[in-house]
Amino acid sequence: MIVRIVLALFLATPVLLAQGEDGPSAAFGRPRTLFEQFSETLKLDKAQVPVVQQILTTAGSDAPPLAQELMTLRERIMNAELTNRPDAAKVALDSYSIAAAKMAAIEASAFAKVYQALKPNQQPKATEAFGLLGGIFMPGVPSASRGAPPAGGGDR
Amino acid sequence: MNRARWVAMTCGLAVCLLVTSSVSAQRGGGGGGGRGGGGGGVPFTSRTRLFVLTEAFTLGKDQKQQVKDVMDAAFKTAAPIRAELSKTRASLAATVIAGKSGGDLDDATKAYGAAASTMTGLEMKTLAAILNLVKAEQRTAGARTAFFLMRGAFAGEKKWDEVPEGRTY
Repeated sequence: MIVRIVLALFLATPVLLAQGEDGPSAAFGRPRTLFEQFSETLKLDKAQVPVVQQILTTAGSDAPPLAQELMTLRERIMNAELTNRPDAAKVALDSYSIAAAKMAAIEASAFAKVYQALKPNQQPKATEAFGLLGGIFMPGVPSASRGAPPAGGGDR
Repeated sequence: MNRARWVAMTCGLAVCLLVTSSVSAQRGGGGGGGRGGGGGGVPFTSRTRLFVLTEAFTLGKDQKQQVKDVMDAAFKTAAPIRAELSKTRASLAATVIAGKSGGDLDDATKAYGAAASTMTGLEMKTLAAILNLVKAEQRTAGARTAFFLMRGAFAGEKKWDEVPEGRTY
């Protein structure tokens, strides 16, 4: 009997986690993920959600090196600002602009595929939803985000 | 299956359940809720950027006001950049929806990348100003959190001091 209760609780956990007072993501008070916001904006149905997830997952597979480059450039910009080197900041910002354009191209490519999967009544919301894809392939805040500056303040 | 295996399986499932619950409770907040001090009992939903910065740097009252002033000023400065980001993002979406590619798409992504770079420059300049406000030990303790927290801090239309929802640019 105990086994059955524990098993039932275990199986129910994802369901309990998925339920909340403000939609599927408010359980335990966490903010909605970007995908949840995206999905809700477009009112994706149950059949579309996995399709769109797959599109974004596939598109995101090309993004990690670029995301890393963007984060590294942010560190360089911060260090240049900290050490009052405007020339170094400008160089890093120019590189950031190029890398950000490449990331936007990845997001746009994914968006094009998602758009094709939308129903006509969902398409008017597509532009708004595309705004939510900005930065979706960038890393989130690390779980152990307290500590020393990521760049270490070096001259990079 | 004998009784011993059932007991072992039950214990295993119970551990999984506890771990899952623990991970969920910490998700997104860095697990900082268990720390002593002011943040311990604050639900994640009320951890605004200023709250997180205050905790990360252990800001005193005056420092907190100084950081708020720096962020307020940067948010105002960001207004035209926000507009440009929004405009270029919409233009990029329109380009995609129209089925355009090649040069049109390149132009749209470059315009957006330039706006993103300008916003990033402001974020990092603001972070540097905050890091210059705090003491060395505070900087060491809070810089990493602030670095990640700053991305998209001025991208929202209404205010910067809100609970980050992951939306950036």
